[in-house]
Amino acid sequence: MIVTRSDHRDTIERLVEDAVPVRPLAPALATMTRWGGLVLGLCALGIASGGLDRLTTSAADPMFVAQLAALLVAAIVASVVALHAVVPGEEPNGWRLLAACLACAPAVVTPLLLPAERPVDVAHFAAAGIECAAVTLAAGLVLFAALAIAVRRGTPFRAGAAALFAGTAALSAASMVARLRCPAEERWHVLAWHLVPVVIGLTIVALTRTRWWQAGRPSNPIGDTF
Amino acid sequence: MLAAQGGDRASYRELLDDLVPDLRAYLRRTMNDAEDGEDALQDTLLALHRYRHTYSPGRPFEPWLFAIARNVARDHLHKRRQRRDRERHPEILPEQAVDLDEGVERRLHEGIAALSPSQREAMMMVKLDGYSVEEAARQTGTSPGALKLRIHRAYLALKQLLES
Repeated sequence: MIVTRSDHRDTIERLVEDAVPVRPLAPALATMTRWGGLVLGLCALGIASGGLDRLTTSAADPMFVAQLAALLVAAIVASVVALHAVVPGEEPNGWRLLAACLACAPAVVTPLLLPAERPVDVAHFAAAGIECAAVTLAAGLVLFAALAIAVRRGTPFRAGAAALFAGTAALSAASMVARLRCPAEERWHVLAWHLVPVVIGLTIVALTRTRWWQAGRPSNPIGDTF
Repeated sequence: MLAAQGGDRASYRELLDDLVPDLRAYLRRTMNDAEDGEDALQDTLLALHRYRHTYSPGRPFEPWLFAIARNVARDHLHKRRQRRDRERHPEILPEQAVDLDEGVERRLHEGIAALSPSQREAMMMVKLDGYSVEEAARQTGTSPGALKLRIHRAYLALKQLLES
């Protein structure tokens, strides 16, 4: 297609005609504060349903605290990256993305350092864990939906990265909720019922990352390129 | 832009009219082709309109604007590469040999076209269009140090090509 200067004139006129007031994108800090409030609410629910006594006992264990800290850092870093990735001129470059990935890595590594018990009864292992996996996925879905609403208001130039980091943030925070509810300190339980649901959730986000971005989005009244 | 976000049409028209020359120059340089540059300009205006709500009044305007233009240009360059890969016709290659000067010029053009978009953009802005390193860095949303590095790498790549 060859576009001429008069086409630009026409385009500008059409854009000006369409220039209705718009609500500016909320600053990342404001969005994070709101989202953080939701995370705190879910954490409170997790603590209430899991029992404060168990949590108080586990809170004395540095390894448990380290896990929670790693998940919190991953949630904060990933949500910051996701929210900035959709603002032109603020997109993180390769180094920042790498740094963000490294900041999220301890959340995966810390469960591997937990002590492993000898194989136990499979039925008991499944019965004790399935609830943790369900809580992680359900909380992850709620937190992802809340973050996705904010992220989808931005530009889709880095849609893939924004979706992946939004998913990482939501699932890390969800995993934190699940850990507060179930402070078990057994490696296989944490890996199978707390970490694997995160991996499953992230895989789903990765596979559908462009679809969820476009779903329900109004078509462009001006053109079809964006 | 703040007025445009609020629906002030006169300010919006004035803003778009003011932006077109700078965007045109930037996109022609980045696309290395006037027609493609005009196409990209059209799409940049549409993208700017569609995503005008993402501009934050507290932030500088130029990095926001040129980030949109850069993303549109990248998208166009990607599509152009795909198109050329599909439509490569050997029969339209030049049949006659060119003299040395033209050969050098042609290789130089090829070399510039083969640079990465960010290197080409940096080199052309500073070395051909006379922007200062600071101005070019501001427009491309990078630091002066990073921009100098891009120019240096572009220079090395071109030198290697011309010496080979």
